[in-house]
Amino acid sequence: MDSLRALLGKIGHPELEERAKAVRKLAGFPPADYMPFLIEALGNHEDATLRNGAMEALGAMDRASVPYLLKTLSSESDEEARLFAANVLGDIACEDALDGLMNALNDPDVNVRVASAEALGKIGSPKAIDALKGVLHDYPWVTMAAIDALSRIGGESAIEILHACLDMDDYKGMTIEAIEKAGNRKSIRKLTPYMESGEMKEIALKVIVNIAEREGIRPEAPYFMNHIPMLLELLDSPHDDLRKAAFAALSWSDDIRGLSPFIKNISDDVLQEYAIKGLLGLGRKTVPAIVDAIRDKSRLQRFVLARILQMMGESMALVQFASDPDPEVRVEVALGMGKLGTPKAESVLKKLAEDPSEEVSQAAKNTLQRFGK
Amino acid sequence: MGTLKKVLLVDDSKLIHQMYRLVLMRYKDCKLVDAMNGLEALDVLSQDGVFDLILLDINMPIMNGIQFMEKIRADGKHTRIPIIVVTTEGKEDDTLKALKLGAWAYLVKPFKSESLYELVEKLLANEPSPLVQAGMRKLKAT
Repeated sequence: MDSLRALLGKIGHPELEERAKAVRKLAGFPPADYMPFLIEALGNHEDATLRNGAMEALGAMDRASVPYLLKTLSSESDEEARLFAANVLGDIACEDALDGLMNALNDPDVNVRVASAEALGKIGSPKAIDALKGVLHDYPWVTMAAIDALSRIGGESAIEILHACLDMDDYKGMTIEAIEKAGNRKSIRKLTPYMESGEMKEIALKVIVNIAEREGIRPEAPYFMNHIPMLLELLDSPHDDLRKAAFAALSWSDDIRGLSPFIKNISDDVLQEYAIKGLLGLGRKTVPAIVDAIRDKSRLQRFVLARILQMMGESMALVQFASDPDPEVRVEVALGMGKLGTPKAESVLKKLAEDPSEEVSQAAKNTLQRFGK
Repeated sequence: MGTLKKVLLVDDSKLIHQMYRLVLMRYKDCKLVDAMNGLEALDVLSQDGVFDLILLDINMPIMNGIQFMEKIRADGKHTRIPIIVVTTEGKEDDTLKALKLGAWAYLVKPFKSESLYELVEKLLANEPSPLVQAGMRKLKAT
């Protein structure tokens, strides 16, 4: 069995695997035997590898480390050691550390206060909300850490505080991003004005879309009424996430200016879902453009456009494609004829029932069955 | 004057990554790549070594900033990418080590956005390393 001394000697080993092996074996000893060494190493200014090795070990020891770290956090004179203690307490994320970390929000060293706020965010307990609210007017990094921590804690009280933080000009960007993590339907309303102009409009758009998707909300079309030119411009953004957010917002806007982008991106893996929703949202006025697009045989996934016509109940528009070279389009025609129920539709279906494509003929036969034929 | 196209952010704190993103928003076309420790950063570099800047924390688990710089120097492949070491107050030993290992500059946490902008603008203007200018005397004294 390795001696305690030998194991402690490996805490600062340059190889991660050696350090990890030593830590696993250390766990077989009583904490009181090795904790003082690890805690002392937090204050080692010369050897970054030993210092970080000790932090890894303390984190790995989990709850057993907490009392020792809390003592360091509250009484160690070296601010760096207090900082690293707060960091490790955040990694362990144990509620036992709550009181100690909340007290440390008043530490004289700004980095300790930042790390303590961050740690409280990682623990995620609502008990820390008031303490974090109390440091929102501290040094900027502390404020930002508190905003982030509130977003990780979440819940109504935290969200209300974050909404109020939108009034703090210097932290708007941070707050908007924080609201993305914790926000709800009310947040979408609060954020919509930030799409007006300025640096925040793109972040606000992305956050609104992400909240809406997470909460399963479809924001109302009027939210985007005044922002169509911006959304259209962002469709050419080099940033995928912005392009997607703009497309999603356009699909919710029910604005006809979205028609061309929706058709253009109907075969895009990421944007297709929004393109379909956008076209369905715009309704019948899109039919001529969709029909023109289906006629373009070079276009990919024309069957998706045919399906949209079918979903809209535009079966008359579909009839012209009964002889389309693409069997997937002919399937949609077969399915669409069911909604017409006319002699013309029946005639088309009978022809499609003889289609060389098994899929097309089966779709036609199934539809005919529903006619009772 | 160059432009900032791609920056590698190396820090074990997601909060710090977020702060960097907000601070670097002014470089609109700049792509930011995240790594949570030195080992992840080496992995990123091995897949795509084209970066204009690395912002490097010292204290990270798995592989800290000093070890990362030692690896870079030993491999010799990515030594041309300027590294700004981001450290907490009083880390003189780490800062000197970083200088000896080839860091371009250092920033002390918590830093103001303007301090980072100043360094980036110096970098883009191909000015000499401020760390070398300020720290050379100290290095010669050790």
